[in-house]
Amino acid sequence: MEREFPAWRLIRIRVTLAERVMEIEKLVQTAESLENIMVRCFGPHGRQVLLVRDTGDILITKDGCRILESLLLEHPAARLMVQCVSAHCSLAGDGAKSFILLLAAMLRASRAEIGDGLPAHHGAQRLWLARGLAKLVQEVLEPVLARHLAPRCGSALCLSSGHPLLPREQAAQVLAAYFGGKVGPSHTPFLTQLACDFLQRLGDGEMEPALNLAANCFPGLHITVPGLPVGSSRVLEGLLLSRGFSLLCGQGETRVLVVDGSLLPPLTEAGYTLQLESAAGLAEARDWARARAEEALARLRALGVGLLLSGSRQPACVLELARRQGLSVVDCLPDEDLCLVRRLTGVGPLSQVADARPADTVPAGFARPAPLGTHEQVLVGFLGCCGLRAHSLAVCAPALGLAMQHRDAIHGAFKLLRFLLPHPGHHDRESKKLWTGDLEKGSERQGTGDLERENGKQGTGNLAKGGMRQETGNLERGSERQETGDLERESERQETEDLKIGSEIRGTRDFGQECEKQGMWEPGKAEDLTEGMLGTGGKGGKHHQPVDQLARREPWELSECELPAGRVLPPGGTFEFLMHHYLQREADSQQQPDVRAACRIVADALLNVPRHLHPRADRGRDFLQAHTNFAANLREQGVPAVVDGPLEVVAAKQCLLVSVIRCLRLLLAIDRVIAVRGKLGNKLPTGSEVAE
Amino acid sequence: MAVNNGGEDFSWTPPSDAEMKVIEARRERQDKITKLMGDYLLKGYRMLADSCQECGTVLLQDKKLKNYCVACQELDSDVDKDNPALNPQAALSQVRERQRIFNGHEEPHPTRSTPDLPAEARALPCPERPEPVPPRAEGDAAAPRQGYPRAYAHGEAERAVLQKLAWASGELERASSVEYSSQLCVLIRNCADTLHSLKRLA
Repeated sequence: MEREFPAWRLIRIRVTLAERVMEIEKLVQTAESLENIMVRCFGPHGRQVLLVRDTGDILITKDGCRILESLLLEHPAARLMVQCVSAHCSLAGDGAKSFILLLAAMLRASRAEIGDGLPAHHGAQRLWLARGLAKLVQEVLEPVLARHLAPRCGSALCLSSGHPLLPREQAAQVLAAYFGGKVGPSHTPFLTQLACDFLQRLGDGEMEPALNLAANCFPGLHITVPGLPVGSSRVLEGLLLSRGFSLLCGQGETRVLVVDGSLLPPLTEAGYTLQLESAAGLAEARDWARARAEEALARLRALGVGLLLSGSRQPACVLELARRQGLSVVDCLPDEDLCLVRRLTGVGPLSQVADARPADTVPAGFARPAPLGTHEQVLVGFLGCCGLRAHSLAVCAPALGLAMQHRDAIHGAFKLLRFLLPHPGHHDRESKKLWTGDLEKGSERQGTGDLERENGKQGTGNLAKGGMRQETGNLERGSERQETGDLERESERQETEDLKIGSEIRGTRDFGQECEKQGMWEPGKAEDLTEGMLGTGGKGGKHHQPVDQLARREPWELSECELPAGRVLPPGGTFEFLMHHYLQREADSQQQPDVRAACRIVADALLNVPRHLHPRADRGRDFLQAHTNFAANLREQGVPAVVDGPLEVVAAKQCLLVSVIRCLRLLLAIDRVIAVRGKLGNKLPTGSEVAE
Repeated sequence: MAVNNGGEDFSWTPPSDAEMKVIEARRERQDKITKLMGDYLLKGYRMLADSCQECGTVLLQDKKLKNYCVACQELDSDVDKDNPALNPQAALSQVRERQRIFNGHEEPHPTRSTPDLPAEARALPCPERPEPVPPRAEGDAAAPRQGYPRAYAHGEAERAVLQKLAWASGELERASSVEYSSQLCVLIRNCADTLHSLKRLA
């Protein structure tokens, strides 16, 4: 019998991957080396750090986030830590150094807890600890803050006529403490005043209406001017557009129209061919187009429009016609500027100019070329901006690097102040959902995906489109928000252009809590952690919330376990001492061993922050003294009332703590690191796959 | 110090003094390592994903793409301090240990060991004079063997050194070769230094 050779052959290939185990010792070492760097610039005695970059540039700064991003780190755990810090800072504006201090201390405490068992059991113990930490965030942290800490805090807000109000003095005290940790001591008072001025003028006398706009859209509201002394930074009246005038006819009071597309109608549409019947046909067609454009411009003039803002380039003949009519034109405006105009004024780009109505135009007090800046810009003084007045900030500094640092510091200041508002929260809640839930499957709303995408873009200079849309989705009018099913569906569509500025968006805590209960967190699901990159949650099923059942609630009425808005504490470790004390009490009264261990870890780690506030020489003694004094005060009369002096925001601290715990859980859940050979840029996500 | 999964471990006892010292030393070493790593990171070094083969510290890479381990190359490792082949102090202490054990005594007087050191440390760099070294070393090591009070040992040391000085001077007068004369001069200088140290000690 003839033997038939098989048509195929089974080949067994053995693939060996280079893989390493990520021991907790390595994590501690990495975190401690970063901590060592952060400690040098932390606290009132912190100094500025001189950093030599790989291009040979020198960076002198005190800003923790900037330092961390400038370091060259290829170690996957270090990259993960820096990514977590960046994400937190883009959300909260402050706290990079405290983040690393807390993280290093928690890793040390985790190492002690996991300790000397068999290495084979370490993986299981780390997961156990990670679960305990998640339960801590979910079940223990908020009640402790609300019940024990809140009564001892002061409030920066004052309620008047049913509306929480942020007085300028309190905001200045918060910002004084903030800027002290970010910029040099000589610039701190000046920048504090500048930020408060800007908020006040933007909010037309009040500070809090402008906070959300300032925090979300700051890239569009400022201009960096190198080459001038820091003292010449000032608030300019009007909105800054990033293009100069293509045609300037008049600068006075006028109406503004935003158009989308050229005023000259196209000769054909897409998919159609223009068939010319004679040689002169083309010229006739062009004349027809010119006539249409002339009509449109005349109509606009009749409506009183004096300034045309256009996203696309206007051809020369349109400019000529506009000059005859006396209209000014600014064209080639980027999308971000148009989005900002729409957010401020409520008018969007018009595609059919012929249908222009008076409601589509917006009044402006003036429109003139901007006095500062390297290239041409335009200042437009919009009026009637739904409770706000359009202002821009010019940040000056002798060197561009310093100007950028000041700009980032001011941006962070607004994000920090936002935590004082009654719903600081939408962002806090979002972040909490992300921190606790996004690692599990089936728990993502696309809206949060957008927010994460915004955070994932590190240091975007211009306002990103996605972020803009997300933030307008969260736009607060008054202080009530509602997440409707419509909005959710809308944010699923990536290219949505019509924003619901006028609609009320209402958010409630019931909604949030429902989200958290519905399968966001189950103890067994911790094994499903497969997060490779920060910010990509499980894209499993959508949450379809039954929105109709949501109760309408006043913003200042709270459920029991919620920290009231506007809580502040004196700086210098008060928050950390209080939390340490209460968490230790929790640890004693907890039933579950993993939550107990987690409480112990967090309580011990919290002391690392006030410890490093003291100068290095007498650190141990001073810290012990401060701790003893605090304990004595607590026993006798409680924390002294907050009257004056610098303040720190408790909600921001809570957000920081939650972020650190999340980062720790991520690190503890890493079991193997599989190396991928290839060249990495510094800003790219880590090339190693992090697998459970 | 570890709390095991699922319950408190009540059989934990506090670490003894020796263990505390080891823990402290290890922690100090780790602190030094992380401080050095922080300095280098600020200078522009790159933190790599790999660890050192020998000590397990995370590796750094400088601008010239050379890998660098802070523990191995900057800090003395824990083991090297006790390695007699690398450290003369360790060698001396090993010699002394052996002699002490041989003679049945546990702890040398700390002040008596100081005059040993200048003499012996200076004796080491001049290996061409082995003869004066063993008698002097043995002589000085012999003195604490008896457990005599310090003044007696001090006098003994001085007497021995003066004796050697006198002998060396005598030899120098009789010396004919340049080489031998220069060696004698070195010996005389060493004796003078030793006497100086002994005087300071007194």
